[in-house]
Amino acid sequence: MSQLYYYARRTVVSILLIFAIATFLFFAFRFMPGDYATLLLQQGASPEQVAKVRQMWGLDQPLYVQYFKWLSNMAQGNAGMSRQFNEPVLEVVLPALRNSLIVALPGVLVAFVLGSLYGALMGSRPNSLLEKYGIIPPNIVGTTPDFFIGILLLTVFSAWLGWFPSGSIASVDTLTSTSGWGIYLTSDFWYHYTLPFLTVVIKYMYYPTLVMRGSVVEVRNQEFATYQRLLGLGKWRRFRHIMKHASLPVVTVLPAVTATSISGLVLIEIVFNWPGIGQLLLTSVFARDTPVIQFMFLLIAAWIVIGNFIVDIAYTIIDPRITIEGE
Amino acid sequence: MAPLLEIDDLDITYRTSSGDLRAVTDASISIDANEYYGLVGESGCGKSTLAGAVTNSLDQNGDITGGTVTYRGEEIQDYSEEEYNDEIRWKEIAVIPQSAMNSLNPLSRISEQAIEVAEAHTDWSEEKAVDKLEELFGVVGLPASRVHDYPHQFSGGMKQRAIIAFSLLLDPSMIIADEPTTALDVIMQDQFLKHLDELREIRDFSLLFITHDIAVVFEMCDSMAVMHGGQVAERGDTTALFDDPHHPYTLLLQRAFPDIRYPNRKLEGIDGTPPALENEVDYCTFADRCPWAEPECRERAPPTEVVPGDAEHASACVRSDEVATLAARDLEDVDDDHGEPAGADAGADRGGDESILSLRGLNKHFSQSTNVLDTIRASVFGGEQDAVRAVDGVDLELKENQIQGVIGESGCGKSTLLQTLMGKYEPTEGEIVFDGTPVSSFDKADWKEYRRRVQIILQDPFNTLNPHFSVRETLLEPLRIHDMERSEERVLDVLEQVRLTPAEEYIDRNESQLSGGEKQRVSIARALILEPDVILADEPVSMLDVSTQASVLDMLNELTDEYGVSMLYISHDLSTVSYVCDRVNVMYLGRLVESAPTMDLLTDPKHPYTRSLLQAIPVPDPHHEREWAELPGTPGDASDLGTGCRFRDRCPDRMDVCERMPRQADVGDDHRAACHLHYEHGSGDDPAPTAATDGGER
Ligand code: SF4
Ligand code: SF4
Repeated sequence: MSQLYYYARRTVVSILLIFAIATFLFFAFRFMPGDYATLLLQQGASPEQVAKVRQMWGLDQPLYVQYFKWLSNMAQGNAGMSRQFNEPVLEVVLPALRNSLIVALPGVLVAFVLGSLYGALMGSRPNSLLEKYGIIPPNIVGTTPDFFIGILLLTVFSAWLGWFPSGSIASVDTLTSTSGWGIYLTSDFWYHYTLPFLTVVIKYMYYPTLVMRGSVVEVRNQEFATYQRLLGLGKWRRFRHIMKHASLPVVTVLPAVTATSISGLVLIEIVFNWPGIGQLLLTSVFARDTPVIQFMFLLIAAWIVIGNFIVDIAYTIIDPRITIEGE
Repeated sequence: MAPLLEIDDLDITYRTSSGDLRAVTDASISIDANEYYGLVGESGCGKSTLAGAVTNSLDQNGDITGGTVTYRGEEIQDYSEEEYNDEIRWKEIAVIPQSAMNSLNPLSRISEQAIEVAEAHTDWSEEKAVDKLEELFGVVGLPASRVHDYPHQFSGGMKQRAIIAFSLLLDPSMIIADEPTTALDVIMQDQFLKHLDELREIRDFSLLFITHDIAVVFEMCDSMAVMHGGQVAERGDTTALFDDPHHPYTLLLQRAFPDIRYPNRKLEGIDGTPPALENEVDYCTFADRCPWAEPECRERAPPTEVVPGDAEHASACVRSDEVATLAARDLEDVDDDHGEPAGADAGADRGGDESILSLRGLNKHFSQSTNVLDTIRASVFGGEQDAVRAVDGVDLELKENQIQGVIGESGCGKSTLLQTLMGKYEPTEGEIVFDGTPVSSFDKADWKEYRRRVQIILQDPFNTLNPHFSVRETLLEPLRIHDMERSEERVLDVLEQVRLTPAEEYIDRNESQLSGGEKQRVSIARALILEPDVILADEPVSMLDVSTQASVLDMLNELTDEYGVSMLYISHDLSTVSYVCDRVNVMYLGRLVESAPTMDLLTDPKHPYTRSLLQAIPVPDPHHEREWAELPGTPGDASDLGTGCRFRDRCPDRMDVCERMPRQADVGDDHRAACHLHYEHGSGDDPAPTAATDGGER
């Protein structure tokens, strides 16, 4: 009962939060100087043309009217029209989002799994060479800017070795012969996919490695671990117990890292000429395409809110001590 | 009959980067089947290392470099980990670890963890393991239905019992308990010991009980060994070692140990500290501390010789047969230490007439909610229903030149009380009056002056000193902060006061060159150098070994006498409290339930909780039959208190009227208690409440 109540409450709170963010974004964007119409003006459009555009987009109406219109549209799944492409925002954003997530989600997940394992390995071998020096590579990589890793991979595997293509999501042939989801089924796509994916994995292994290493060292010294040694449990069995414990802080940083990975993604996507939200965000900013930017910000915020919710649930599954009544 | 476990001339060496260090030298003990055996000594004496050799759990750099460990006639000292796991571990020798509280994995069910143990050492099915655990839960007094719980669903006491059940899981013939009660409050310790003691009646096993607490060994064990500096100083029957010690260390350890039956007995510390480890140990490791050492003692390790007439009793001292006479000679000038409890000056309170620090109806409540909505709700709809009443209506008058104790289990609010006095928290209600002025009216300058005149000594001398400072810098620092004259002379003076002599020798040392006791003296010196009026002492000796405890306690006593400092001494340990304090206050879940001059409290405790606390203290005398305190449960939570007496769920004397909060009433000369047993209800001569506030009845 209380569990259900908790989830219900969390859901409502999450929805309210997202709603509040959406509202904030709406007004923030209205009050920002330099809207799309002004840009047109700078580009030489006549005041009459601008007025017409403003009228077309309803920008001449009072703010609260705009707001309620926007709200009711959003409620119907209509996020407005992209100004640069003259297409519905959803149709612009969704394919880009899909392209991004297909790199970012598996990339970050694989990074977390590999990083956790590597960190755990380091943490469970005190005084070994691995413990002393093993932390150096992730440290170097972790402090290197994302795009630089991308450029490095490109230089080595594309320019020098010629193993992988230098960018884009697929070759022109594939792009013209397939549409929608179909593209992901072609081997050509995966061929293009490898380098950006690797960049994400390499870049995002840093956090989980560091966190897991520290966490394992700490958990190893907890009394239950000492007791399990005295109990004579097998090595592997004890390692599993320790991993389960030590993974708690790693799970905590997961949504935050995924969220911040978006900023990194922008740069990685530019380096690889990858048509994801990073690129879209960039072009939209230059084009003052507020409906698109606004919607993407909303998506990111929603991801953070929902991601935290998911982590809380994951926590209650891993750690029975956490009661969810929030007492 | 051959002993179950025999350790013979065992040497254990640690390989370190700075060379080999001998942790145990020529140790021999033997334990019979079904025997309870105690192994005592101060920290670093090698007792846990010795146990590590038996449980095949020495640190990686620890090696057995000589001697044998024989279990059931089989030499096991060279067993590999696999061999040991296959043949001995848990099936034959099981362990009760130091902190039973945290030894089960909080993320797995208790039954799952038992299954893993069975899987590792037997071919039992899962059902069989669970059945066995259920049976053992019955044995240790836990409901069998709760085997599938997670550890956090158990209270501390229940976890203790679950760990005992775990140790019995594969029916071992021997259980090794390594400092199992060190981290426990006295009531919990009492429950734990009671369980171990009762287990003897129903199960057959030997127990090796490792502890620094000689009282617990005298109470629990049939035989014992005393270790010092890696050597077994003396071993034999507990009664033999008590009545007729043949090693100076055994004797001195007894004298250093407080006995609640004789709170006025002068405790004698043992000079010096245990020696640092070295590679070759061919001398008596006690020689530097022994009052009767002779040149011979340093020439070779004294051989362990059996005491004539008692084959079990042996001592490793060249003067072992003189110990009794030497001790008697030294005692001649000292007055009878086992005299009547109430000695001449025993009841006398050295406190003056003026209060230096008084607490009037002091409350400190913490709001529990971290949630903004809940906080708003609480402030709108009133009430702080779920506030934690950490300190709840405390009245206390600390007189000039007096030491008062505040005693209670962990979580009773004594630390919050202390921190409120230090100004870290603002009282929720009530007033602190210092030297006639309410603290609430202090301005910034007053606070600074208060922080000079009220000093604190913390529990852990290891964390309170800056490792980069020399003693001189440590002591000059507070003078600088308080703009007082900084002179070398003053520093030397205060070092003399805390008996770090010759002071010139200590002044340039830094933290790593000080022993635990010396560090605590430095932190006391740091408090004294500001010439405070009041010292707040938070468990100042609980981290120290008994041998140093005694001298620090004595020093605190003398400081009060010589310099007229007042002290509030906060601790969970009634024996040390009663040794130094003129008056003792007993705290339970935020309230003072009893307050009396020390002697009155010890001889005539009124509140049922005080009685239990007294009852639970182990007595260092194997002839003394102590009854268990039998106090069920734990104090519980200071947030969910209801309106009645806070002690009522555990109280053996509970009555109907206890659903109402009892008020503080005079129950004797300067003796107050808050219990319905001790005042008349509704009659005209109802004693006037002494407290200005009476929280519970509002
Ligand atoms: S051997 Fe000597 S130094 Fe050691 S305890 Fe005996 S008398 Fe003291
Ligand atoms: S008031 Fe009642 S419950 Fe409380 S201690 Fe006294 S007898 Fe026990």
